[in-house]
Amino acid sequence: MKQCACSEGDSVRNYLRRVGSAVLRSPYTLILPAFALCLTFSVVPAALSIRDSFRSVDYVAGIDKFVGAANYASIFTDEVFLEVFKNTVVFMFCTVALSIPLAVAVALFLNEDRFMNNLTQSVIFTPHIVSFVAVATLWMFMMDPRYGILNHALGLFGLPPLRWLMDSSTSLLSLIIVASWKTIGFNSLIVIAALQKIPPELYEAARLDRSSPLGTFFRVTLPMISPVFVFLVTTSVIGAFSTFDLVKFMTEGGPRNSSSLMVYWIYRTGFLHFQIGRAMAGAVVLMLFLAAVSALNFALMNKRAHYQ
Amino acid sequence: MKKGAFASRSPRAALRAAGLAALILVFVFPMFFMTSTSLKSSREANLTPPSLVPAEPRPENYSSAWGRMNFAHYLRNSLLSAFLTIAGQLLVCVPCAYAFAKRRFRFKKPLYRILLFDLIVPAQAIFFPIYILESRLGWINTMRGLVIPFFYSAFTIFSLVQYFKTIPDEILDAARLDGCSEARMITRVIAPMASPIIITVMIFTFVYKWNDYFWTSILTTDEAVRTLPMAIQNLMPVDHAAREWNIIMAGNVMALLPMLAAYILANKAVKRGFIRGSGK
Repeated sequence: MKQCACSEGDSVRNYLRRVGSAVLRSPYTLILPAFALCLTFSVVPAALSIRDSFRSVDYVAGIDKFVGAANYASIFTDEVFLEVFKNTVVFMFCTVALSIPLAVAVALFLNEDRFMNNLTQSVIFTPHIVSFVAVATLWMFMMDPRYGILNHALGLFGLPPLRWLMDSSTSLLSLIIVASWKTIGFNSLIVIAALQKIPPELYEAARLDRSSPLGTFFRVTLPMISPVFVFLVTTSVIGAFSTFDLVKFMTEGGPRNSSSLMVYWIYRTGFLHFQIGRAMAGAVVLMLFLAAVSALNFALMNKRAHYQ
Repeated sequence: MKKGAFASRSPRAALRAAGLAALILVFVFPMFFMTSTSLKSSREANLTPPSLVPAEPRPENYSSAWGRMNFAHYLRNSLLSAFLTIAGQLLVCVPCAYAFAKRRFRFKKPLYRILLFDLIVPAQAIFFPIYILESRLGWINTMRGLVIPFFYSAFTIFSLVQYFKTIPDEILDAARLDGCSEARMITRVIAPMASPIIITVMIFTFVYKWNDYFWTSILTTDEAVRTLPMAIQNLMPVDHAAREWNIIMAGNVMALLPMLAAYILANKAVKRGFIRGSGK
């Protein structure tokens, strides 16, 4: 009897131990915490955004009812939203078009292993570690129309002063310059990393073929680093779409919404004006646009990758 | 190609030097100007034309900024939130990345796609439901509300997976034959072999958390848990004319110093992590 119970207890214990170690060894256990957080703080909020974009929500008055596409109709007939959307697209294209080619140029320039190059690599990376708040205050100071150093520099070249952030024709441009300034160093570090992985034999072969430097660049360098473009374009596009701090600090979207971007608009509409349904409709438009850009980007890059 | 293309003939050398000078001017000058302004008197900071070097350096701007920003308080919050986030990511993202890089299991691909969701949708677009969720949980104005959502990072997981894949399977198999548990595998085999990328992504997390303004402004209203970027904001009065740029720049420099130190210390690891881990 006693022995029997003991062996039964033993087998239960063994069983629990086996289950326990199986659970501990299971890959699903390893991914569970990350997965739970991803669902809670990304996937579910995204789903709720989509749901609320079809509803009229007012937490104070206790209203929460389905309104169909009314929020979408409302924002797409709203001139302010349309301008903000246009600003965001312009901002995205300009920062990508400015920061990625310049980053490639800088990377090619600094690729060779020399002391000055390594120093400069480290130096141009510093804007990446400075907070947007510091970057914003610094550039606001430099872009001040009256005593800012940028206007002083323009004056040295005989150019007329600009009103930078204070003028609706230059405010968005000013933000584009600042955002690009902040990301070029980071982007070029990534390109340099890719350049250093190119096998030297390819350049040797190009040299034997008497390929011109430009030909070598287009036929060897560019195809070999094209995978990092997917990464760079995706992160730059997302960075551009999620820009908030610069707008909030430097212009508050002004003058007259000329520099307002989507996240800032969502923040104002949802957080300050409590138009949650409209804010969520804007968020869904932003998500869809981003998904489309990413899909296009991946498709183009895959094609290129197959091609080479 | 590089050696051939840029032979050390003097016009090319001159062009090179000019290029380096231009790069340094564009990227270093604003930082230099920030530091120089932080040492000026408030009258000199607003002079036209601006002076490049302070006429009489005033290091006391720093003690003044320290006091007026209540810097020590915000510094503590910034350090706490950054280190808690790093610790959380190490516990959450490293095992997860190991599973996706080195284990086989059902639904691996679709699960990985979902997990990389944040690489496509910026969290800034969906902050409102996150805010509502946190207020239901009572997490607004708490440190846990400020760090727990960031224990998961798609960028961190993606970077780690790319690097972990380069670790040879034979080493892991040998460890498994020796009866190595998954916890030991991660802490004793994976972590030492992948230390460059782990250091790199943790530096990025540190920088991200340290500099974060958006989430702090959304998820907190109480100065008790707010971090350094908010302290800078408190120095910016709505009235443009009243801004004391010298004090603001001193605050910026002080907030930057820990980042700079971390970056300089980890510079080598960051470069190594990138070269092996980035791309494909």
